[in-house]
Amino acid sequence: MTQKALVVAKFEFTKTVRRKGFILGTLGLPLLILFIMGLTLYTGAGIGTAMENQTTGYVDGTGFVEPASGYVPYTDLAAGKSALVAGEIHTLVVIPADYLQNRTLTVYTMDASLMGSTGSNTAVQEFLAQNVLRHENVSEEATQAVLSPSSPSVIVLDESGNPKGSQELAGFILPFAMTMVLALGILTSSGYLMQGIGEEKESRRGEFLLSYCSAENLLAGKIIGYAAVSLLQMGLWIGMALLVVAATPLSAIFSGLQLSGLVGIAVVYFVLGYFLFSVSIACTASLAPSVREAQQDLCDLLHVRSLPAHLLTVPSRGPELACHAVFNLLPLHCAVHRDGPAHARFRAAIPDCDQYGDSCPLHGRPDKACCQDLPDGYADLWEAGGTRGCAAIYQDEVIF
Amino acid sequence: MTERSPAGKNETAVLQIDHVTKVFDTKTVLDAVTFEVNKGEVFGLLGPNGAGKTTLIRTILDIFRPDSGTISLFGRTFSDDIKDAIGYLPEEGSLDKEIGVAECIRYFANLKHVQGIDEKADVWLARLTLADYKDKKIQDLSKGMHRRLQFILAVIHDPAVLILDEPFSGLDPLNMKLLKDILLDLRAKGTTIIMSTHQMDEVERMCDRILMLNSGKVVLYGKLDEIRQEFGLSVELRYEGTLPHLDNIVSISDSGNAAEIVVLKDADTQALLKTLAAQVTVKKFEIKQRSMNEIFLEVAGK
Repeated sequence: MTQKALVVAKFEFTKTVRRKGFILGTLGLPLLILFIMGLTLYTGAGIGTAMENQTTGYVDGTGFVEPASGYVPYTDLAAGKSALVAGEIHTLVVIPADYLQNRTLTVYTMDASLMGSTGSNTAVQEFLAQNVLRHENVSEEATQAVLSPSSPSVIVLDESGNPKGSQELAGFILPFAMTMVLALGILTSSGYLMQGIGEEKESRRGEFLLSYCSAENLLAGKIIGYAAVSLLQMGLWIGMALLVVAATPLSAIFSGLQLSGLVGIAVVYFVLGYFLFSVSIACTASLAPSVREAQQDLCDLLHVRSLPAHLLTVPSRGPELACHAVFNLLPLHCAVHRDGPAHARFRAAIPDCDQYGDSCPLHGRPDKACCQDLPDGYADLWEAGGTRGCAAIYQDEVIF
Repeated sequence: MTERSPAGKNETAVLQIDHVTKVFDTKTVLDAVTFEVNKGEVFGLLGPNGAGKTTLIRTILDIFRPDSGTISLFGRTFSDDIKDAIGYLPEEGSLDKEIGVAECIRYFANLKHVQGIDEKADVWLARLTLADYKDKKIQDLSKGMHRRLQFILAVIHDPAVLILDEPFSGLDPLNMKLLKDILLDLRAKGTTIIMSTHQMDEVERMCDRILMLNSGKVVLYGKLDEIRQEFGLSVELRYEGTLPHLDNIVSISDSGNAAEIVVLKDADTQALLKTLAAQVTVKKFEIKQRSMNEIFLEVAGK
C-alpha cells in the first residue's frame, strides 16, 4: 500500500464521518434500539408489577429480614428451590450472612427471559426496600446496601430445579448482538463504498482521480477508509451498548460473564469479512455503469451470501450434515452468518461449563449420564466438544 | 524541428505514442495512432465529435489500456509516479460537491505529493479569481468556477505535461482569456501542453503542432504552419462582372460579387489575378493561408 492509498483512505474517512446520514445512522440506531427497549421495559412494567405481586421467597442468612406479606421465608436453599420449582413462588432471593458487607445477593428464578432477569432484579430491590429499610434499627451500612445494591447473581432453574446456567441468556445475547453489529458494520460500510464508487463513475470523478493515482491505490484507499468508518461505528455502538448495560438492570444478565481472549478472533473475522465483502462490492460497483445497476448487482451478491439463511432449517437440524460444514467454509457466508465461524467463535469465547464441576450446564447431570442417550452421529461431537459440546448438541447448535 | 539520436529516437519528445489501437466491442476507436509530443510545445488534438480524442487522452493517462501499441512518457512506460508529472483537466466530470474548495485542493495536492499546499492554493485561487470561494463548498460554485477549480487541481503540482480536454468549455470570454494567458505563461515556463479543442481560432493562436483524428485514424499531423501551407491558399475576391472558368484551382465559392477561391499551395496566384483581371473588374484580391476551421471542415467532411 502506498501513501496515495492512505491519502484516499483519510479523505474518505473524514468525508464519511461528517455525513449527516452517517451521524444519524450511528447515533440514531442505538437510540432507536434504546427507545424500543425502554418501551419494552415500560410496557413490561405492568408485567413487572404483576410479577412483583407474585410471591417472593427468601433465604435470610443475616437474620435481619422480618416476615412480611408477599414474602415467604425459607430455612435453606433446597427448600426455597423446591418451592420455586413447584411454582409456589416466582423468585427466590438468597441473602448471605455477609450481605451487609459484600452486598452480594443470589436470585433464583425459572424465568429465563430478558424481562425475567431484569424483573427479578427489580423484585429484589423492592424486597430489600420493604424488608430492610422499615426495620427500626437500620444502620447506615444497611441503608447503603439497599440504596446502592450491586447487581445480583441471577440463576435460572429448569423444571428439575437444576441451574440452566447463569450465562445462558448472556451467551445468547452477546453472540447475537455482536454478530448483528458485525453484519451491520460490514453492510453499512460496504454500502457507502458501493455508493461512493458508483457516484464517482456516474459523475466521471473517478476518471479525474485516476489521473492522480492508480486504480489499485484508489480502491485500496477507499476500502481502508470505509473500514475505519465501520470500526468507528462499531466502537461507538459497542461503547453505547456498554454504557446502557452498565447503567441499567441489564447488567444483571452479564454479571459474572467472563470472556476469553478468543473474542479477539472476532476482530480478525470482522476485518477479513469486511475486506472480502468490500472488495466484492468495490468490484461490483466498478463494473456497473451506475449506482442503480450496482445496487441491483449487489442484491444478487447478497442473495448468494444469504443462501444458508434460506436453508437454515436444514443445517440446524443436522449439524453433522455436509452442507453445514460447506456453508461455513464459503467465505461469503462464514464471516457474518449466524452459523458461521464468527458466531461460533463468540460462543466459544464464553467460558465453558467447567465451573459447574461435573454437571452439564443444561441438565445438571454428570456429563456422561447426560449424554449417554445421544442419537447416532452425536457421539463424535460429544467426544470432540466435551461438556460445552454437550450443551451445544442439546441446543441444536454446533460450536466447535 | 525535432532532434533525433543516431538510433532514431526523438530526444526532445516527452510523449511517444506508437501504433496505439483501442477497440470497444467491435468498434475501433483508435486505429494505429502514432505521434510524438515535444517538450515545451503546445500540441493540439483535433477532430470531430467521436473521433477518439478523449479516448486517446484516457489511454495516455493509463485510464484505458491500449489493445496494441505502446505509450511512453519521458522515455518510460507508464507508472504511478509518472502520473505525478502530469496534470489533467477532463472535459466532463464534477468534483465532490459536499466538500469545501480548500479541502478539495488539499486532497488532490496531497495525492500529487505537493509541498506547501496552502500557499500554492492561495496563489492559484487568487489567479483564477476564486479566492473568495476558498471556504465555500463546491456545490456553491457556478459551472465556470467549477471549471477553474478543476484547472487549479490540474496545475497545483507544477506538472511537466498538462493535458487539457476542451479547456475553454463552460467559460465566458473573460475567463477564457484568463485561462489562455495562464496557458501561455505555463508554456513560457517550459510546460508541455496537450490540448483537445474544437475552437480552431485558439488552435491557430496557441498550438505549435497538431494531430487531427477522424474515426480513430490520424488524418493530420505536424506543424501548424506546414499543415496550413499543405492545404493550399485561399483567395478572397470581390469583383464586378461574370467569373470565367478557372483552371488549376481546388474549389470556388461564388456569391455573385464575391468569391472564395482555394488554390493549390504552389499555384501561380499572379497568373490567376491576370486571368481574373482580363474578364472581370477586380475590386479586391487577397491571398491568405487557409484557416484551421476551413481545413477542419474539409478534412472532417471527407
